[in-house]
Amino acid sequence: MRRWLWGLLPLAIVVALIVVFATRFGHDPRFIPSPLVHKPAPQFSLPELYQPERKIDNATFHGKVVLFNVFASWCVSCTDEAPVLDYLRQQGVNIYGLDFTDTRDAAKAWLKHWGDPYQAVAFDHNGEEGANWGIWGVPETYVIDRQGRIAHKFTGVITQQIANNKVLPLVKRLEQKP
Amino acid sequence: MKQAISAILTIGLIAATLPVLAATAPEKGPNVLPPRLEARYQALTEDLRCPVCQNEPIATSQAQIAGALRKIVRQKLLAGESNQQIKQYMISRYGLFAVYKPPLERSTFLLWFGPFILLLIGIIVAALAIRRRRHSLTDSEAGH
Repeated sequence: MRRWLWGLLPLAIVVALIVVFATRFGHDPRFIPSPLVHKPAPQFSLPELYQPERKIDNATFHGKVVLFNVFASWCVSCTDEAPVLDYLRQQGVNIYGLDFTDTRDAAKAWLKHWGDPYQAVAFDHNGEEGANWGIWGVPETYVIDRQGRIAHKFTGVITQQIANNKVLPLVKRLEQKP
Repeated sequence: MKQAISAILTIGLIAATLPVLAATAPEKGPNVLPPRLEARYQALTEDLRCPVCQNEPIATSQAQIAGALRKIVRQKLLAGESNQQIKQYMISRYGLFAVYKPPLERSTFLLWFGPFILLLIGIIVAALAIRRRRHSLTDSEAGH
């Protein structure tokens, strides 16, 4: 009887390993949780895309719940996100853009073609501020609360479904907080 | 004729290697490193992992973000920051993912010692099995 139980031990180990791998490593390996979530947004200051003399910095977001959306004119999947961001803008969400490693002319032309949902666009020509925000790819979207903390980070394209099921409820919840 | 062909071939070969040379040349720009920092820069960027192209260090990655991170590393080196400070900055932005050799702490304990723990369990199980077998052998011998 006990021998028979010992025989089952390897099987039990294999099952345990399967459970561990399925639950702990089952997610997309490209998804890396940002250590900045629930922390104050990094200090930054960048020129605005259309008005280079105007600065976009932490004070720009002050007291507002905002989406800070990383995009670039070379980013193919950003074109999928453009109509969804426009929808969010129509729903009254404050959206600011971070134009990552781009040129002003290309970005302006891109926004003219695909629509401009942003209240203002921070222009990060060499990508250093983007790196300071811990971005790994484009598009990415930070949700920033009234206190200037990062409440959430969306990696990749915000689809219509994500916009309705996650972004809008989260923004509403944050806006109800003082 | 033959000479002409070999000349064309030589020029072609040189042209083909040019982009490679350009890619490996140290990056120019506002933050050119003095030679004494260059070695540290090379070592650090080999040791930091590119967030998008996940199995490449930022030293060789062509991704936009890797280029930006290289610039940041250069600036921090020029500002006199230590390797530890620069790595800590990367971890604060990208998590432990950013370093190829994560520091030993509670969340990485299993990563560092997991294999040894498994080895220990294996040795214990093997030792127990051997002892049991010996016992059963001596038992059966005693039974004769």
